[in-house]
Amino acid sequence: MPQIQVDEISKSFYISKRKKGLKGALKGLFNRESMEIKALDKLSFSVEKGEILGYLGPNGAGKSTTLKILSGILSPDSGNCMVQGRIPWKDRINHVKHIGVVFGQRTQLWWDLPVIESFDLLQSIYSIPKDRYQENRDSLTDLLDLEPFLFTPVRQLSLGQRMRCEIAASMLHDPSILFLDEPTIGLDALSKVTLRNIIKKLNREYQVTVILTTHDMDDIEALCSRILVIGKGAILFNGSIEALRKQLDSKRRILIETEENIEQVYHPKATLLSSKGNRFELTFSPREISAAKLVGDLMKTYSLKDIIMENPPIEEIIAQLYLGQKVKP
Amino acid sequence: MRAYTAMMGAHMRCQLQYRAAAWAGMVTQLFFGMVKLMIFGAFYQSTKVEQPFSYEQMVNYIWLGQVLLMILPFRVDQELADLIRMGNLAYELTRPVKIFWFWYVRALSLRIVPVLLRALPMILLVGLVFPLLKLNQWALAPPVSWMAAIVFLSSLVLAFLLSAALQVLMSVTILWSMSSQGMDLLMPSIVWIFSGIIIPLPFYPPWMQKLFHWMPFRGLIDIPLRIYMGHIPVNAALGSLAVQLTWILVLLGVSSVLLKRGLKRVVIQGG
Repeated sequence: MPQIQVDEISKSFYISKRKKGLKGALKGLFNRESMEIKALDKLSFSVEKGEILGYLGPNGAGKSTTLKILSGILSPDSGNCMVQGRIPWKDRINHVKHIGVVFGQRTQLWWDLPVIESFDLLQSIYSIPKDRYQENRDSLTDLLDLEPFLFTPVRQLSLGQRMRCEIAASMLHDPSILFLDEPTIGLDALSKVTLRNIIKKLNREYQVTVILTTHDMDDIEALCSRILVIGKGAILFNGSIEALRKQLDSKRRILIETEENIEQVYHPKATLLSSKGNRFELTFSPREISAAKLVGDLMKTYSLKDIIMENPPIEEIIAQLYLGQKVKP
Repeated sequence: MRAYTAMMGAHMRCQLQYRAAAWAGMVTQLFFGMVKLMIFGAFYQSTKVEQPFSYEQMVNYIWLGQVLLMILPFRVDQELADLIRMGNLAYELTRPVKIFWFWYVRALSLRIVPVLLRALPMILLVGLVFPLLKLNQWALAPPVSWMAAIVFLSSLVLAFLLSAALQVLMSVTILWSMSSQGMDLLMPSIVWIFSGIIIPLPFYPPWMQKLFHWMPFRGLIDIPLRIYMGHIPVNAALGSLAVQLTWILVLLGVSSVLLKRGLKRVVIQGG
């Protein structure tokens, strides 16, 4: 049995609408129209222990809603979901003892207290035994390199430092599942790389299952063994990144630089996208011609200084999905 | 249990940051205490009719009221209101605790710390320094008896519990209104009048006293103060304590039911 099993969960929200202007405002006093928003529409998937699942979707697709249901904060309108044999929203207090949650846009640390005091408070809140707590705290401090600012009030930390503390805070009570909602949002390049390494290490060393939502495709490529793409509350894709690349008839790109300036580069199986001096950008479909053959042909015809092959950016593939091209797994 | 006491400790420590506010507040409270003494002094001198309190009792009521002013739940817990409005409630719900008691200990610390910060210096001033300066007519007198002192302290503890219960109820309403503005406008006028802090409740006309009788607000300062100065005799005080206790239980019950409903309907704000 998978660690997390989600069966056809649906959740709708109602938001109140108001017509424009004074008339609308007055009308709104007496009867309010509300609009139903389907956040999740019979969503089903499962996650095995030890996976790092990338959970993707455009803004408003229902990612956060799913995470909130899985962590017991919200209850769905219909459908069922089991996490390690528990129904999260029915058994919230017991459930949350076994999970860690990080919402990238919020903070769970006490703003005015030093980091270490937030940790101590969490120890009390989760009733973590003292020696277990000290062991976890010290090893997380090492792993996440928190030592230099352990005694600094949270409000004085940089975002990157704070996010490392947030992750440590969510790991103190030995959770077996970690939900990360946009953990890399707003971080600089270096902090992102650091954070990715940390997530990998946590997954390896603590065998913690990670479900992570993000809009950063580098996060996905660096971390996730599997991705789940949703849009308008339903699943668009479920599988590995390679599978996703193959599924779409994706064109690949090749950039070449010739020794001398020439007018044009031509190959019957490739299309010229742009040219700039002696640099040319061509696109081709791997189904019609293999990359090796194309490069060979080009080298025979022209004298080349440089060749760069590009995979289509994963971002473009995902964007295609968002646009509504449903891919069969 | 440890989770709740630890939270309360943390909130109390956070409250201690507001020491400067406490000093400033103390000066204001002393000033208004003096103003009230003057006003009621003039009032007592210009009447021959017998009043519910003697002037000496009135002085005690005024000073203790000023000392305990911050026990009154004037305002919504702004931090908690922001937490609800901005959706940080999500994090609260990921903790293995009952949100209701989490909020209750928070409310308790919010009511207790400001009073404690101001109480000691103020009592020293009006209870010890004033008599030394021969300002006996303005000084706070000790409780009428040892028994009265003990019952007063029990009643004071209940008053804190009651005030925190009101505070939680105020916080719970934010789950519906999403804004603290309404409560922040409404509560001061209710509390100023119905707690007895402006005019002691026994001075109101009988029909209003009947109204007060059915409200929780007299349990905040009116009951403990009148026990202190012997206006409610010790043998009658048990009934008053029971009134306070009943209101605490009723308010806790109502707000926990409302909280449960409110949490169900709350859409965790902001994604």
